[in-house]
Amino acid sequence: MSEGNGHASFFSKLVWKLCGSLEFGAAGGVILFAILFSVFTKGLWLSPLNLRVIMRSAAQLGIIATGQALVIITGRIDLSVGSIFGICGVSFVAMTSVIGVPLAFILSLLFGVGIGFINGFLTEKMGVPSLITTLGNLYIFRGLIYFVTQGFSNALPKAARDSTLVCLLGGSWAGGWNNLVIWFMLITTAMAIFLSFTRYGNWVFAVGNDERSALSRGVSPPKVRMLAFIICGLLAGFAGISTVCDMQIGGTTLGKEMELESIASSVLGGTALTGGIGSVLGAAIGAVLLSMIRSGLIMMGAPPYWFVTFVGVVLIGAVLANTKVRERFQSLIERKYK
Amino acid sequence: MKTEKEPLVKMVNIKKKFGAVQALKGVDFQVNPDEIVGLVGDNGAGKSTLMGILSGMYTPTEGKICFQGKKVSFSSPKDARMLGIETVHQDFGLLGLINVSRNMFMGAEPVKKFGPLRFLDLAKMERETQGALEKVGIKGIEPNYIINHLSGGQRQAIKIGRAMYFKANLVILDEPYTALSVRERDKIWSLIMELKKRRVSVVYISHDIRIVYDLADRFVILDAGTKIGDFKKGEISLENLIATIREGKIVIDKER
Repeated sequence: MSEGNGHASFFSKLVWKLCGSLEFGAAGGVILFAILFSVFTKGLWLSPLNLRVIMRSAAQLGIIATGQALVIITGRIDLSVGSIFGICGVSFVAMTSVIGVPLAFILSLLFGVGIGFINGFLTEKMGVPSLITTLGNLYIFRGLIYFVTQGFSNALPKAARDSTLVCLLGGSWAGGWNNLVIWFMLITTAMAIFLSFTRYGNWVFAVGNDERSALSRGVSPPKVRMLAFIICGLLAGFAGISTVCDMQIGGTTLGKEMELESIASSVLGGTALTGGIGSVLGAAIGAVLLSMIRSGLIMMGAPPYWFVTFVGVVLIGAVLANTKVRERFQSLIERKYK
Repeated sequence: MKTEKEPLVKMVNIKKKFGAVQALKGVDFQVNPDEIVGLVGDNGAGKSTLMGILSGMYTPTEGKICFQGKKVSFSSPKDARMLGIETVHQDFGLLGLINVSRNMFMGAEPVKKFGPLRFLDLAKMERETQGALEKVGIKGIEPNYIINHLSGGQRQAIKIGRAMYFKANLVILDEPYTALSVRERDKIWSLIMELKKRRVSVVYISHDIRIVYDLADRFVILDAGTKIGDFKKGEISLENLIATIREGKIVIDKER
């Protein structure tokens, strides 16, 4: 075989693999909508300022979505992530003036971990379906958010705003890019490595795929899922705290509806609600896609409520792309390279 | 001086209750070194429950398990695997959406250390999987193939190959022939013969009594959670073995 053919074979194999990957639907959507919005807004959508705004909201959602994808891959779901995001954010704001920023950060983060543990414990040890457990906690902690904030939006105290930790979590770096975006990238990369290259990652897919088979190989499904809920709570809490550090304010609506958006991001990114299949990278790309759509529609002059409708359409479209197109590509890959 | 070989596994007075159902009512069961035991009985006899206890899937309500003379208790299948007890289940044991090498090492993955971090040694997993499959004569399966794309026979072969790779002392085969083609059955048969050649003890559970009869050195017959018979091969004919299972009590032809 000539060298030229070798390269062609490598690249065609790479293209075929990419097209058959889980992230195909979301990545394709990002490219498609980037072109569409750029054309319809005459390039305004592509302005650095708008891209920064998109990535900032994508980062808030994306960090939660990576945790949500993890839980969904194990075959469970977490509807409480929006409330965890909110309660950790507002309690951080409330505690900083009393106990200082570092301790408030640790305690708020532990709050997220604790709620994740409760979700896991009730689901895995008490046998309550995760849909019910986490729906219950969605309401419980949304109610607590109202209690903590007393229905108002509370600003981060001046002294806290200047602290190094707050700047590290919510400040910005050269070019005006928010630190949250860097956290989002770091967390996505770490989670992707964690899932693909560690024993625990292997077990996550195993448990979601077939609980009995995983158990027969000595993998404990309750332990794996408990940890997934805890990580998910930790990430949602971290995202909530970082968001209030960025916005320097936390109110009653903090994190509202993010539970559904995080599920939508995961599904857009190729994660199957049946468990066993999924990608945290896909979930992160899904979060970027949702954020792009929100910004694009606003820039095109559509009323804000159209976002929800449009997300529904994109969600179904991307899932179809993910399942049908990917299946098609995978069968072609098998025939071509097996 | 010992006159007999110590049993590899000895289960004494094993009882198991699932809610109100008494699945096992005090069963004694033993497997000797280098022995193939055929565990037979009608549906609901308690065969899979007994082996579920031996493989660590269930904990007994009552009873004692000894492995090589030492009392043991299994809180999970991992404990059984640590002693070299591997189970080849009829319809589970492999993860359909995951590739062969990850399945091969599921629950016992080799890792590489990077400071405090541990990452899967994927290269070793692939290499060892390839080697293990070739060693037992399983051809045409690459380590990166997804299990769902393989045939029933290939899947059973991987499970047996996996048991051999981990140097099992005892392999429990639970209906390994179900839904296999003739050619696949031949392959599985040759793998079981390979186990025998390697002097691995085997417990063989099947409803296909003819195969069990050809294969096993001894037969243990269960009925409704009770052991009703324990015969060496020369002590019972195939017809009487079938009749005993059918009747739920020992049937010995007087002419024999």
